[in-house]
Amino acid sequence: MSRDLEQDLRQALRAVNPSPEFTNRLLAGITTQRRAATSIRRLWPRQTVAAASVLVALGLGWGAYHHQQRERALQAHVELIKALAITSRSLDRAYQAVHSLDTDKVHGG
Amino acid sequence: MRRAPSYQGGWFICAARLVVCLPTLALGADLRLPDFDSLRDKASNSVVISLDENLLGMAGQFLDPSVPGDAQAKSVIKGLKSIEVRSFTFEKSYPVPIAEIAALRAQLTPPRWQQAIKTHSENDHSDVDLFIAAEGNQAQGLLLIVSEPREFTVVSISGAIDLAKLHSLEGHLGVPKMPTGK
Repeated sequence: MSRDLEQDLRQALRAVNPSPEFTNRLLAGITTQRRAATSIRRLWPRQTVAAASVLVALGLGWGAYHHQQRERALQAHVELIKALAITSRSLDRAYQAVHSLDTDKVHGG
Repeated sequence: MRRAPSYQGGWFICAARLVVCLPTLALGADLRLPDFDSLRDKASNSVVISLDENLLGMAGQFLDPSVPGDAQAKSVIKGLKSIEVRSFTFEKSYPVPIAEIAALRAQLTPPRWQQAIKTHSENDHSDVDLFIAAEGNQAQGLLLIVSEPREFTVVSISGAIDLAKLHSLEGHLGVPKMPTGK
């Protein structure tokens, strides 16, 4: 009786080669998991790089805009000084013209 | 007589006082100043400047209040809406841009625009015209046309302008002060 049991156990626990179908399914599962893990690992750097690129582009754009505005303001400042100088000089011409008329009136009658 | 003017005595001073006495004017005399392209080719030096309220504000940021000239300029442009300058210098005599001046004068319709100064000098062949836009007692703009044998200048300003302050800018801003008498 005990011999039969031992026999049965040995029979049941003997080393058995897996079927090719099982092997294929197992390998396919492992491959899928590896691919998923790899793609996630690959995606993170891409997203980070993309986000960083956007930030850098925004920063550069803002910097360029700021620089352009500053250049424009500087140019406007130069033009303003020139415009005021010309205006002041022209007003002085007008003043001189009027002053000269007054002088002529006094001296010439 | 050196000059043959059609001039009403003291107008310049009256005009200056009028503007000085009204420091916060609601100005809005929009003139369309020609570019005087016909003069550009012939001029040895051309200045064409158009500064609107936005550009005046930007330019004002670079005026240093601790520098007397800048502080004065800052006080002058405060409240200005625009300033436009067309100035041409010539090596020899130039054809006066009659058509452009006529187009400009056509915009100066009374009663809003009044001619404050009109002088003509036979001696040095120069003309000075100063127009002021006003509604009631309030000036709304200024147009100055100065024609000389070698120089032609048009200045248009709109906004709250202090003429006396503007005139006193001379001597600052790198412009040598001119003698007031002849």
